Amino acid sequence: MIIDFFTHNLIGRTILGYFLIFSVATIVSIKIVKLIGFKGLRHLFSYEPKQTVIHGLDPRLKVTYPVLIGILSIFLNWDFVYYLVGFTLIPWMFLRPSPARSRVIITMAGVPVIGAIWSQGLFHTEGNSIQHLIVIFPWTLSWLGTPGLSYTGLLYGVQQSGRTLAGVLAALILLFTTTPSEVVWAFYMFRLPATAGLAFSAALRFLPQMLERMTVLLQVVQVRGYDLTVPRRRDLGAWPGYIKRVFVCIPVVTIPLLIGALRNTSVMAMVVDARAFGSHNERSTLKEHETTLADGIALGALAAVTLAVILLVVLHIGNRLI
Amino acid sequence: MPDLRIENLSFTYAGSPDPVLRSIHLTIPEGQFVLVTGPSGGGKSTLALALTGLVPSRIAGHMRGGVYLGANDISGMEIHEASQNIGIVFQNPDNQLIQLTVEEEVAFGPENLGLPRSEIARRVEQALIYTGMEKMRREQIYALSGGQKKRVAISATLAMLPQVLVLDEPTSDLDPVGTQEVLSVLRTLNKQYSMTIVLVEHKVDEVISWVDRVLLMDQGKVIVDSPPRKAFDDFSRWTRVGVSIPQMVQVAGALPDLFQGSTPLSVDEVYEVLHGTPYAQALIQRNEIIQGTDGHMPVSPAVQSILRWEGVDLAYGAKQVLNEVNLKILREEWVAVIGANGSGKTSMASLAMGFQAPTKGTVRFRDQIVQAGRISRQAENIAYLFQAADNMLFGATVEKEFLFGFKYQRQRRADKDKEVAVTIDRLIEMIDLTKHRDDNPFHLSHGQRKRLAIGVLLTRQPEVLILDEPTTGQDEGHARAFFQFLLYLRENAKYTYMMITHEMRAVASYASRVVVLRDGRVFMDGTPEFIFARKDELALCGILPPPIALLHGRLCEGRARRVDLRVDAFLRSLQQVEVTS
Repeated sequence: MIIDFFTHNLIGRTILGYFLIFSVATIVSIKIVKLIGFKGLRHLFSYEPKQTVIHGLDPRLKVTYPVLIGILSIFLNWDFVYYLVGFTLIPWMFLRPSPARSRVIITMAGVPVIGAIWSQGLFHTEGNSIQHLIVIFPWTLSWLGTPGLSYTGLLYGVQQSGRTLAGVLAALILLFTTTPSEVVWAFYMFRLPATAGLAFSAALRFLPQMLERMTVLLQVVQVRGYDLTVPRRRDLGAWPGYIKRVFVCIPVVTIPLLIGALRNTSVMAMVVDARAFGSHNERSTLKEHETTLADGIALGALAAVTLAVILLVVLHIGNRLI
Repeated sequence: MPDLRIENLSFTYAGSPDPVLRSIHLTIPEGQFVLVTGPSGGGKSTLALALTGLVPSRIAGHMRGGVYLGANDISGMEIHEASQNIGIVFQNPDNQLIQLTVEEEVAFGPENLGLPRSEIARRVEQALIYTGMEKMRREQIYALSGGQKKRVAISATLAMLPQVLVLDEPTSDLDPVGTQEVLSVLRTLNKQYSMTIVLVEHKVDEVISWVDRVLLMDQGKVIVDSPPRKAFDDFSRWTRVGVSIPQMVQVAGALPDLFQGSTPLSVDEVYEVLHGTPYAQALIQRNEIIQGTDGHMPVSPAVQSILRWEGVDLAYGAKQVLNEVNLKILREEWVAVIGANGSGKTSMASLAMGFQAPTKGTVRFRDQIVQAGRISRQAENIAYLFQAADNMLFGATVEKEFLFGFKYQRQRRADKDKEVAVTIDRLIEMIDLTKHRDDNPFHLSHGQRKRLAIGVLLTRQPEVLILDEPTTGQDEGHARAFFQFLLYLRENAKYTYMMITHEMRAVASYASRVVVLRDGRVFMDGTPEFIFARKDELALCGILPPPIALLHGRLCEGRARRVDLRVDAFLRSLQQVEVTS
């Protein structure tokens, strides 16, 4: 009877439709907060100091790695893109990130994947056909512009998210294991402008700094008596007030944050100039990377994967259907 | 190396009606060590930026005149060109560190100069040794304390080996021993390499004995320009702009018969004159009379502790920040927490406010355990004045700052039954901003903003105020006015203060008790008169007593159990001696 209500009754179908549309977005948001919290975000784009074989790899390899994986993932179809995802998991086995950071990685890699699959499932269309729909939404949901939850859309989402996943996992390896000076060095060695390397590494430092500053600002508003204590779940009457306070707090925190960020950027530019950045065409470094066996193995693995993908594409085995 | 010439320099910031620098004309010869001091807003930092070419190339405004290094027009150079001749250390260390580790930060400048690797390594090594950071070369910068970051910033500029080094308040976050170490390094560079050094600084007492020349600036003009021994010929020029005369100069001025017009700048020089005189002998006799007391304040059993740290440990990963801290702060005490950079002072205060949880032990306000994260609840009892008080202001007007507090702050259970005791009118009157009620907080002076930040905290009617480096960035006149304000508040509302500071003269003048931290442990605890008499133990904690306390201790041949902390008290002691002798 309950099944019948949700599949045949207009009200039941409407409730189910709304649930399908908004439940995943809500659960994903809650999971982000639960798994990593606001403070956990500072681990997102920041270097993790450790002594691992991945940290010791040639920075040029690490800069190349996410670019190459991103390109390769575009050419592969989804039967093979997940093999590439599997390949990108190998460095993580050597890296063994801390539990806090692991939660961040899982969340930040998983959230776009779930989001992509679900959004494709909801908004994928194939002309006027409804054969691919698992659930057909009633007319009450027509204003949302989706006919229902699509089987082929979900599959397409899985394929797309494989590409996202491979790129994210490769990019996070670069971010977690490479210092700004190594990035600048790699750019310089590739004959790319060192400015680009500095801009890249400054951008990477921007978010953690911003989050740290936000933490201070949130402490400040609470020190001034502003109550941001999360009410107990059963204390339903307290929640509207809490939500209102969170919204009121947003401009209070974000405006000084943005002004501070702009001011810091300006001082940072002066500091970089004052340290003679860009004054000489040739730039030297304190440390020179010495090529090791690990570099050779990593380079060999990357070359093998690249070759394999080229063969799969050229032989029309694993190329993407456009 | 060429002279640095400032020719008829005036500068007006974009949007400002008045110039901040007014027709400054100076020549700084090669190898001179120059102190630039004066009240806030006098143009010191702008002059520093102009010397490095950042004004006008990076700061919008209208400039007349120029800055020249020999024949080179610095104002017309690209910054990266000028930077190879003139280096600058900025005021705020957080904004000027761009790399991840200490070593990488210091190497960044020499790398940009394209130097050979061996030379970069040598410079990094040397610069880190100069600032005492060689053991931390592999540390992550974000994990350093404010003072340690400042040392890294100085090292990074030193590694560039510029001909001229400009430093804007380089010692503002440093502990007193660290301050002297940095000044000693600057003097060494100045002597060994004939490096010209321009030091913008409020701490005249600490700096004066190191420099060759003093520039006192006010309202964009240089009003005193002379060697340090001549700079204080007319006290009124200094007191008029709110800058204190160094303590040793004051002592010499008060004893003209002994000093005969000479101007001593260091404790050693004054000691040489006073040593062996009846003054010194009588101080020793007086010291023997008070041998019996121990420096611990008598505590009545009826007085309850208001804040307690019970067996508290705090660690960030493998780094132990606090170690078995046991401390009680009593009602209406003014406790100064001092110690070297990174000794755990701010961490200790942050636990009391609930910013984080201890890894072991408990922190209590009265008998309640402080819950980490419940900051707004804790704000009912404790107010926390952040170092950067400007971060605490959000409102469009002074009045709206208070309205923010009353409107959105957590409702006290007790307030529901009774009318709120404090009103905006009373608080604004208390912080002396009645005339500025409708002004934008950021149009107020630095001192007024600091008072406003305290005022808005008082809306919660707290019992304890935690003050984290309350005078950083303030000139002496404003700092003194701020402390007088705190005194007034304490006398009227019976507040308890916990003050974290590196400003030892403030500790000597205002604190009723001093807690000294060393490597995350409470190392010393007592009244300032007794704590500052133990200079050797304090040196282990990065602390140097105020000059007058040092002088008192030395004149008593190191046997003084307690020392005078202010010049007037010290001189009174000498006058008492004259009467008795």
